[in-house]
Amino acid sequence: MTLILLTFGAFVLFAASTQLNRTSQKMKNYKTSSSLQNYATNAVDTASHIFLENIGTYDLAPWDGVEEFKSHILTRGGVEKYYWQSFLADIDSSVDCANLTEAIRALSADPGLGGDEYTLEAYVYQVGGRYTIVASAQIGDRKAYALGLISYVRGGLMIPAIRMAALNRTLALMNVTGGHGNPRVHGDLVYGSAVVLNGLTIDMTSTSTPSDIITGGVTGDSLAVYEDGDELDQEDVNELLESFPGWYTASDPNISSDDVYNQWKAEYMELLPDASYTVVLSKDQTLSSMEENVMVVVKAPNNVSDPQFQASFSDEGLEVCLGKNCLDIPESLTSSATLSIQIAGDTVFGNDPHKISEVVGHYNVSVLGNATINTNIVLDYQYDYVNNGNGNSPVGNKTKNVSETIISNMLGEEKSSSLMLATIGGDMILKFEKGNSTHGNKSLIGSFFSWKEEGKGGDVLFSGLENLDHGNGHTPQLFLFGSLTAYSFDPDGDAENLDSFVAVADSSDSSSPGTGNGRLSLIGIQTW
Amino acid sequence: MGFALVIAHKKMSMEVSRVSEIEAVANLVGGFIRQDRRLLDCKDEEGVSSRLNELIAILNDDYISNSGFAGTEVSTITGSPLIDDDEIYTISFKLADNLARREEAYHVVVSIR
Repeated sequence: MTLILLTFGAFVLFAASTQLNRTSQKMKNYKTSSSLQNYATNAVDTASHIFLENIGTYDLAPWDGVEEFKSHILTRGGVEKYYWQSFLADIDSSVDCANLTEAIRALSADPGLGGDEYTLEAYVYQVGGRYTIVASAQIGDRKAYALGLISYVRGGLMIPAIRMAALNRTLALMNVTGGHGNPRVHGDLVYGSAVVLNGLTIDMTSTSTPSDIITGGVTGDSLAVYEDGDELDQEDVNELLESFPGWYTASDPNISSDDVYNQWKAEYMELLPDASYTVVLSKDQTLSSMEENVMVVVKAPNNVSDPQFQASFSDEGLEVCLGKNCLDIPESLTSSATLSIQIAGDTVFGNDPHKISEVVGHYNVSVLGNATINTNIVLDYQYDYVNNGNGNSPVGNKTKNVSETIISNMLGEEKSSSLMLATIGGDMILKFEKGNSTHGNKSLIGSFFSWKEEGKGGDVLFSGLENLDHGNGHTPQLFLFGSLTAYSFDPDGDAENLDSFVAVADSSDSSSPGTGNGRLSLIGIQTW
Repeated sequence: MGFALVIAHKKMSMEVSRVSEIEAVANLVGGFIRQDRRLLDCKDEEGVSSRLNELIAILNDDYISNSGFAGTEVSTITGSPLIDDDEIYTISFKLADNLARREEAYHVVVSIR
């Protein structure tokens, strides 16, 4: 009996150890794969660095191995492989690339590149204004690939995206919470610089930098910083700022914020033509001609007090109505010259917060009163970024990395239209509304100003945010591409429900100092 | 023979679990270093060295244990220029497995260009 038990036990242990031996072998394979992926990723970092140092000096030639790389991706499971296949559609074995294999193999003795144990390769393709870098690491017959994307991002843009005397919002680092089932993008990104005169508060983490929130730096009279939820004392704030020289500029204490704001306003007013031509909206009319140095002033008849105008941009031009009487401005008038138009009374732009008003042509619109933005306002050449044709917005509710990539593309577009929209003596009211699809995304493209006049107006206000859904990729967001200037942003505190505010300075804004799309750098790596 | 197999069984079980844990931590720490914005914004080797000293504390105090790997810690992190321009570094870190009492070295390359 004892012998039977011992034999049985020995068999059980033998079977278990055989299984463990197999598992152990798998673990070794896993370790090898992990090392291969790490060195392939390191090869991308190294090759991109060398490439950017010597950009423009490489001889270009096709690389046969790219098809094997694309096949390698396709053997990986999941729907992601189709996205990557689509992403790589522009490169194949007939497309020229820069070969950096020799350059990285010269460094392969370094422990970061595998200490000469691995065979490394790296190639860089230009795709539009960006570069795609493919690297591989091989040992025996096992191979891992890594792909890097080099694009114009971070820094460089010193144009103010926002200019405020007061910003009643803590700008927080962008991130995603809620997981895959209920993703929720929140936080803020100012891509460009910011001027916030009466104190700015930022909320960051110990592994982020202030420029992860405002890329181009900020000018103001004071700065409060929260790091991982705790407010830093002044000494720690000063120490932080010393690590990022140039990011924070103290405003001149001898000049009040009101004086600075009034200076901005005076600069804007200088842009308005002195001469004007008045249109009284007592009947339907069509503007047949215009001159750039003559402003069209739209007024209500004398017997109408407190007029409420309705304005609509479309690909046919601009229509301004008072009740049933409308002024049509055909698109053809504004295709090569800027129309200055002033509407003498409160004006509502658009009639549905979920729809897009497409601006085709060049406009400088000022409203003497409140301007309610009851739509999304988008310049024609940026339209596809706000509506991809399937009802989705490529810029809406995206993570910081995706936002930066899309922003990089938007900045590279050729400008065919422009818009300046200002309130004078009124507020700019951004209207949101709960709906079935677009929920709380508001996209505005252009230069927007809210000017205080005789103590009235000058604010950016929010309406309808309290009823919006949060989560499932549809968190309330304001996406601004251009600039926003106001006396104060959300003085009533209604924007607490606005999960995300992204403001991007347009590099073509020649009225502000600084140009350029930033510098090329490696913005992301994917490894297989 | 049975006794020897029991010992082998226990040893291999431990080996498998420690290898998988240390590889998981290596991936976590490597990714953390690659994405550390303050490291990427350093201006020179001195700045890199200073940030790596901060990172070792951040990783050991919170990040690794909060990720569920309390038995492993970073024993050293060092950075050395990969090429002469002082803008690309090989960051080498050693993971100490306190249970298996051994160390493993890993390397990531980071450009601060």
